[in-house]
Amino acid sequence: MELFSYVTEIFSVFNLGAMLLGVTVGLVIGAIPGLNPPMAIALLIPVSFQFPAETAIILLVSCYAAGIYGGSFSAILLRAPGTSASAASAIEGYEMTKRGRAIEAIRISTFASVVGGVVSGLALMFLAPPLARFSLLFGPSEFFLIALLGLLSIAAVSFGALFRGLLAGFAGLLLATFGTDLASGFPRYTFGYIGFQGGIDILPAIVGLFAFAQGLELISQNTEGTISGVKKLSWNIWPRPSEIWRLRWSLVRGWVTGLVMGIIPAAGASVAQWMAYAWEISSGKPGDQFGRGEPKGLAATEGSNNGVTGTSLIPMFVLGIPGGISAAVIFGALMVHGLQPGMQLFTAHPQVIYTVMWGFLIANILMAVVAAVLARMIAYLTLVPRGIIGPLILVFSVVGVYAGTNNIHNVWIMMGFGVVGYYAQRYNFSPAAMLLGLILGPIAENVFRNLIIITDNNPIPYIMGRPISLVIIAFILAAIYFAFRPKLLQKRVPTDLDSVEQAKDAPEGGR
Amino acid sequence: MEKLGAWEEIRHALGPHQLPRSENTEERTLMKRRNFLKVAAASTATLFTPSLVRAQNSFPNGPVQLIVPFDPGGGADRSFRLMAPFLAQELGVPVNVVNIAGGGGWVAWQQMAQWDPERDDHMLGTMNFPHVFSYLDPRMQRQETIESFNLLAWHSLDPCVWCARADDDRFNDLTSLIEYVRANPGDVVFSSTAVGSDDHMGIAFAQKFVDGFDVRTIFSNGDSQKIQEILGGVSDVIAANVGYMTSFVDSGELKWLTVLNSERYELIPDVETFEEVTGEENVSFAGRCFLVANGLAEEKRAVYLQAIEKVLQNPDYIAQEQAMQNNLMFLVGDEMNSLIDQTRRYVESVEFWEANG
Repeated sequence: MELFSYVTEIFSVFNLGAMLLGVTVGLVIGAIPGLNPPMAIALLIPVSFQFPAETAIILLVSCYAAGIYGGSFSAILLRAPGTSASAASAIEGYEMTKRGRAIEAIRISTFASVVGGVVSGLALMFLAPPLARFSLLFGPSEFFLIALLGLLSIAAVSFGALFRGLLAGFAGLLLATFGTDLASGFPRYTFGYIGFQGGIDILPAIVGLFAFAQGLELISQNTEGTISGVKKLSWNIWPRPSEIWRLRWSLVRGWVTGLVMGIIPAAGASVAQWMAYAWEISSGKPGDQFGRGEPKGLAATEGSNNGVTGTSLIPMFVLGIPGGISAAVIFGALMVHGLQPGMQLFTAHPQVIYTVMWGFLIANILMAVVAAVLARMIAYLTLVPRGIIGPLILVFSVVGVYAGTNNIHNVWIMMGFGVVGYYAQRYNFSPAAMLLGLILGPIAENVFRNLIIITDNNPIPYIMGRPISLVIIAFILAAIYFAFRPKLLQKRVPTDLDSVEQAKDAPEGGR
Repeated sequence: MEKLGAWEEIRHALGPHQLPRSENTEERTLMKRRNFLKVAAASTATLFTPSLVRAQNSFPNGPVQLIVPFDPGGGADRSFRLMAPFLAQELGVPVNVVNIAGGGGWVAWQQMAQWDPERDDHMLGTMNFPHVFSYLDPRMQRQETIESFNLLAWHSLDPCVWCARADDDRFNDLTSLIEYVRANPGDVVFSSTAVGSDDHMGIAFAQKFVDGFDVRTIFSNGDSQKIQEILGGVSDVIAANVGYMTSFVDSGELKWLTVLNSERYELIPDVETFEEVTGEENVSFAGRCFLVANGLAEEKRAVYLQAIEKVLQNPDYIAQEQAMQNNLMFLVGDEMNSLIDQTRRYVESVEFWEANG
């Protein structure tokens, strides 16, 4: 097979050097709240001009994969997700850290991410053309149903406080309508404020709801203790077989969600993680401690966000349709190097595309090596007293958001979300639910209006005529069924959800 | 051999002086490494030595900020990031691309309108057309107009086109499209970018000025969703720009219907203009231009202008932009002003804010 003739190309000093550079930049920028992978990739583009095409693209895809993974460090260790793709990991990951299990959480995250990235890379290698054709079967009705499916995750991330979770979700949906409307150009809910005219960006919302709120939380407590409450960190960064075996189904669920959501344009890692998490919670067993540091939840979210990375490049490489912002930046870099994304990339420049695919695979493995060094350094943050780390998180949130967008209004918006997030967490209005509303609201609204237009106000028969829509509807019904099932379990075994509630009511669960 | 082909392109992009040609693989690897070191050394040098910065009394005497009013990775951002090193070479100081995103470009433009000619003399702004004319929409309640800006030079222009799926036998050109639309009112679905974009204005113009042009339009945030819609059969016609469509037509997936340009467009000379077919002057495009602080000293303005003109004539830069299907167009003074004025009149005539109430 032609693919294998290019495997040796990847082991040049030059290509490996590009991978190392991409992975390191991605990990560091990904880990800083406010700076995200697309930004890291855009920063590397001028550097990449000087390289041969395959090396340049390897640099960028390495940075992309590592950026998604790097965001998890700060999510797990500080509850300050570095990227929108790692927000879900902040829930279980940080709860684990609080209970002195930071390194275990990093181990799980590393394993889930690396293997997820490799599996996704293999899908990119062997299934790219058929998967790309599959992605074209998604139209407005499928996107709308996927958004609905995603919104159902609100039930899962409410941890029993369903009514409050729904309120938070509705608030998110309402905020998502702010800004200039696509289909009429009308500036909605801007209150004459320029910061709202383009709509509310996801980035300041995430940094505010999680990172800034966390900074406020830390400084409002006793400032002397540390986050983790432990004095020493273990060195063991690679998980034991027994650990992996216990999490096997959670990992598989995460990877599968990631692979599938990657192919679907516009959904991407920020949606996939929540779906994987919701799936994981709904398949939970009595005794699982979701919301209180359950490794299964972390394995699923971490597996899914890196499972997205490889397959999300497929529509871009094969069809010339970049599915997300990172892919769009890589798309631009391909063009700069005179490579037109699309099927002709495989026929006219096989050496580039296949070398890049191998590069993506190897970069994911290299990521584990770099992470082993970096993760330990970053994990020391959890040994720093709260009184120091809290203000640091606040400062980084402000600097990160401003550095990322150069837009002071985003800093105000971030702080607003920070205050909301602080009180929401305190009174059990899930900030994750609000975030889901914000992420999925614009997708759902835009495609629903398009659906109404193409079907002449009669969408139901149209949806019923599309097989993939019917499959997604089946998933939605299944999700609703499983969302109610724990309630039945609860009657018989009054354990997990009650204790979750109690843990939430107590001001600091694990200290 | 193909390997060499790609390598050859890079060599071309780098310019002939930087890299001697070599056929031997081993030598090439060595060359790559040497080039890598060279790049590393050069970037370090840029960071740490003041050699790039000229004496204090010359202008510019410090890094120039090139402001892009959109997120990193977008079309405007990619283009200006390509340009920045060339501009740095001409100006003799580093040029940093700074993205100030938000408010559909207006967060940045509002700042540009208030730049101080002394304090902000190292700021070089960029502006997108027709996007900036969103201020004509009374609902936006904007204070600024085009007169609020000190426009310097035009940078690039990418005309709007309409394309259909190559295997769609209902229409092959604008004439047959219009016939089909008249025979089947409301049947054809257009994929367009948001209301007020160049793509939408082309459609809104046709709906307003061509009899019986009754089509439905669906809107999205950007080109990728539109391509997804047309290739997936959700829509029938895509309204976009030549640059992005070329590859899809070349690969045989889409076909041209018409170009919304004042005359036949040089890159696709066989495609009829909208005006040729209908007699209505429907000219819509995505254009970019540079601007500086209001009241900036004439000699400083001239320094920027000269540097931009040189870069836009630099064959290496032109080659890189062409690889991205970007069509550069250097215009200044009256020529630029008349194009801007023409664009304003077009937006006023379309009144896109009335189109989808």
